[in-house]
Amino acid sequence: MEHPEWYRLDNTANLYPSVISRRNTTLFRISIHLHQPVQVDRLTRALQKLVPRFPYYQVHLRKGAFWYTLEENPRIPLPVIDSKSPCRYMPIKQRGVLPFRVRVFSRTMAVEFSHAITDGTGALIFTKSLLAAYRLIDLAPDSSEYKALYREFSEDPEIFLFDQPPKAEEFKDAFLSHFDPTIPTPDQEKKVFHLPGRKLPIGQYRVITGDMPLKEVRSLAKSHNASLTEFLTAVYFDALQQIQEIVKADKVRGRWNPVSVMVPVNLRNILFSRSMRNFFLILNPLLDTRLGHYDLDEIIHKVHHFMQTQLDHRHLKQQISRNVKGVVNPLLRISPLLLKNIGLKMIYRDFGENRFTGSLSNLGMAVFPPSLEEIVRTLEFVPPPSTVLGVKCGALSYRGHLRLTFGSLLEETALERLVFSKLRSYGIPIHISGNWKGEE
Amino acid sequence: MPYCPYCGVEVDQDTSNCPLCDGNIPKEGPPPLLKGDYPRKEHQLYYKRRSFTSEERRTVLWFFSLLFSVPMTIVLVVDLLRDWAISWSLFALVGIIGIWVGIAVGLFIRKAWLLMLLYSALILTVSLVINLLAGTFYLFLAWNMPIILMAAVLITPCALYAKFTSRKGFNVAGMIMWAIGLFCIGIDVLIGLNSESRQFLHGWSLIVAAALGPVGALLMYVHYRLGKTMSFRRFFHA
Repeated sequence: MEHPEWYRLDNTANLYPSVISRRNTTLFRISIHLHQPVQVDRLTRALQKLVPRFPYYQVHLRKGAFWYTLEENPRIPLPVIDSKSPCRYMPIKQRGVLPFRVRVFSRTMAVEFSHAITDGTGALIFTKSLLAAYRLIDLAPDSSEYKALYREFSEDPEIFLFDQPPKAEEFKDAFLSHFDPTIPTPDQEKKVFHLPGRKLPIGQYRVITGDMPLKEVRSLAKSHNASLTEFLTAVYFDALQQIQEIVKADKVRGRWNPVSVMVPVNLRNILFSRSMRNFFLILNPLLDTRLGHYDLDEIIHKVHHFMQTQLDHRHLKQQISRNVKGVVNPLLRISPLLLKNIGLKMIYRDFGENRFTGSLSNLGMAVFPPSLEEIVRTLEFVPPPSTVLGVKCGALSYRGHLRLTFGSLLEETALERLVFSKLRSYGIPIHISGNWKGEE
Repeated sequence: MPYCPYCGVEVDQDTSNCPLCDGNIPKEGPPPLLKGDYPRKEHQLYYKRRSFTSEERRTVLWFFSLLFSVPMTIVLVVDLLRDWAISWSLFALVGIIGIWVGIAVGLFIRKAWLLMLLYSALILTVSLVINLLAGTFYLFLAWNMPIILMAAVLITPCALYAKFTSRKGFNVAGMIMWAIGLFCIGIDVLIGLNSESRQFLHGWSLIVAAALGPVGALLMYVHYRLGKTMSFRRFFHA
């Protein structure tokens, strides 16, 4: 398929270039921990073969008079050494810089993507495809092993092999397909409580991961009549409520706003799209803690019903229309990028992350073909840093393990400790690891 | 397969340096056992900006040539229609051609020192031509040439210092303060040389230099002494 030389940013991505900073890097990451050390030259060859298969990622961000655009970029990323603080700043507004990178250290291979080009699902598909290319690259195409692996990988719809051309639907901004200008705008959300705390120095990002058996957490969620995401969100709410109560006890004065958690939802399965660009929406369950204390069962009940109501496709389309309306507005379209940058920063501050106390992004279950499962020990999803929220949480399940990863810009680890200790109190064994030893 | 002892990754058989950290790959030895999933040491990553290709540069120059041809034609035609001769439009033409040459030099010359030299020569030439056209060559010798040369002599070390200093910050501002102070003294001396009184220094430039000199020194002190123990970016970040 002939692909265009430049692309418009998708509806969600329009916001990110304007708000990028040394702290708010907009980068998120999927890490793969292998059983064996990474073969870096082999990975380089795999990247050279695979990246042209994803032309919508092989781009660089360019400034236009009115919008940022993504322009074709012939560069192929070379693997770079990993960092103690993942998701660190990358100058993606610089000409020629690809908005993603592949990082390597010992047995870890990680892909860091800017939200300006894709979301977690797109990144997971790229990561799986990279691993498949890594497995295939050094085999002779006429060998029986190559043929068997090729057959196995081509049966997985989430693996794009390097010799298959990209499909037109992968390039699509799926938000525009579901935009209906006649749908009324939803009500404005309330102000919410934010986690207090001192920020880590610029460039540092603390990651704490809890590894737990998926089956046990699932059955615990089921015993509360909730899905895994609903249960984890409720535990997250419970921890935030506790922190708010502690802060409230220390400082009596002040406005005590409700607590809200940002829960991104992958729209591909709900609205039937195969776009490889951003296609997610944010659900914002809210707990009005001003009305009194809620116990976990009550929170689960509230979150469950909220999710069921909000996941209705009419509701989702209303949100899509609200988001797209701003972009298609003729007055906004012709206003210069300089003005837009100021406006988008304000929108991000007041209507974006400011509406939330925390964030929980569950990428679901990653299923790999058996020949890739052989080499992959664990998987991890590190959410992008956020200066407004301070702490964000990402979840990814693989081979019977749920890995809950907290990425934090705050010095305090109260939220992480509370969430894990609450899960532990239900008898779930958790193994904690991370990049932080407290030496800096 | 050989391993990098610092990154813990496997490399190809014939590799002598690690593609990630550039460290030497030992010929023999067991694979390293690196603890944890993250490195302990922080490596700085460099992102190389893609420079314009020569074709892109030529396109930009064509664009400016076309753009500048419009005002050039207009002034020429208006001058011819009004006076049936090319007179005042020559000044405008020299200015526009000077800007065009400046853009061309900026597009194709990559060496900083050569760029500074060519820009100084260009400004000097444009100024000389304008003065010759106006019949005021003495003004060029008395004012334009010394001011342009003085500015070039002061700007060049400032630009080179800013380019090559390893840590840019208050030190560049300090250097600029000192250069402004010296420039003011130079202007004062020039006024003295060209005035009938022949008084070299009128005093105002010494007051400016006396004010800017210590400010520059303070900025240098803050940069080189305090900067070692304090992160300015962290301290001043909004």
